[in-house]
Amino acid sequence: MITHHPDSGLLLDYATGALAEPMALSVACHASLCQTCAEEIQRLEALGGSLLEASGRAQVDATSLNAVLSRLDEPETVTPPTVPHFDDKSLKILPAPLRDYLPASLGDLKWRHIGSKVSQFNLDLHIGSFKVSLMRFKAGQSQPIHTHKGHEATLVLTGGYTDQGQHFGVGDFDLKDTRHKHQPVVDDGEDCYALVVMDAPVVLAGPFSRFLNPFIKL
Amino acid sequence: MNRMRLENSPAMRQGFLGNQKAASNVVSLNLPDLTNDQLSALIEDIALNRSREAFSRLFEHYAPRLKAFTLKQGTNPSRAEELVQETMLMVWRKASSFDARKGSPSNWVFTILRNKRIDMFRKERHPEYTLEEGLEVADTAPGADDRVDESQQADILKAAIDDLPDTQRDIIFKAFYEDKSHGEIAEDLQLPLGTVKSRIRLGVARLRQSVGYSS
Repeated sequence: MITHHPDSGLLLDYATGALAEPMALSVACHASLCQTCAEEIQRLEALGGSLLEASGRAQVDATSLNAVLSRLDEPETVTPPTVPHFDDKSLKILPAPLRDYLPASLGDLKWRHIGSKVSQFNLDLHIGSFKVSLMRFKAGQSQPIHTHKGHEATLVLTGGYTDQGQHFGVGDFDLKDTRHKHQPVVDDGEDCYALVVMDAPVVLAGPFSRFLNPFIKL
Repeated sequence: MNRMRLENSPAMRQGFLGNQKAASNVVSLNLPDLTNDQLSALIEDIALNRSREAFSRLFEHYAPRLKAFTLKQGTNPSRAEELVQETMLMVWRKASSFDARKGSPSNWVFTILRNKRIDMFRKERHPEYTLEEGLEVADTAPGADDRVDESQQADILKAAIDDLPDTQRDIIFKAFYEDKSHGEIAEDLQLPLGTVKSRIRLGVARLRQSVGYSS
């Protein structure tokens, strides 16, 4: 039972395309596990579709159709990323959108060990000052007290943890910021895998611009 | 920075229904509107038969709409033209991924435009969700049972958007037309983030009611 969801603002940003890729990945993984949010996103995308229909028509270049027709047989220049063959355990744990970002099954990743309780694998996804990691927390252990310089979005993939009196289980989306000082205690019985997206140690210009790619603006 | 300021634009002053005539670059092409079923059939014809004729008809329907939508977002005309062509090329390539049960053709084309825009302008990807086995999304298309055409469906939604309180409508327009995150919108309007979030929630819930989204 998923009880913690991305809020209405994040879902809207996902649907319009305003979220930077790391946060969009986290929301996409959550929505892969959460029917409620998947439906909400679909409604928001339907709003986009209707606005597309309702925005009128503008003249396209006279040569436009022929230009596209002449390109239909072109081979795609961008080759899709080669997705590795995942073992059954990995397929069970990893939501589909996350698989595109991992080079190997969970057991074959080059984990970095932080003490004896935590392992971390950094995804090859470098957008602005975001840092995206797959984390593995040992079952039954309490984690060190910590705070954040920016935001931290955690999506639970296996097991769970309790933090500040709230429990987070599989599929739960946990967004924390600098105001939160926390000490998660991992559930007994099963290691907790989680996708963790952190934004900058660098403080960006506005207090609300954190989820945007800070470098590229239209 | 040539972003269209909606609050000063004719669209905002005259109401949403009046805005087609407001922009000078919008022309009436007097083409008959295609129904949802016809648009779906064209996409399926591309997927199954690689039909260039079906693609040309789909292009005639969507390219002017994509161009108008992109211009509204403040993209300059030559970039907008490029984005339209790239989006239509993706429609050709991805036709087999269209599933009429999951939403209308225009919803699908909107997501292709969005993703192409992110790809071209930000050099990022838009990770797509895929519901895990055992989970299913109910048909969320507005009036999914009625075979209304896209423009009728859009008219119903336009009317529903016009009926929204200004405070909720502004935010939805800014999100879709000005390419702003809800955080940036909060800054723009000098509103607390929580207020913006709750207006989004209320606005979307209200549209859902008036348009009769199922579920």
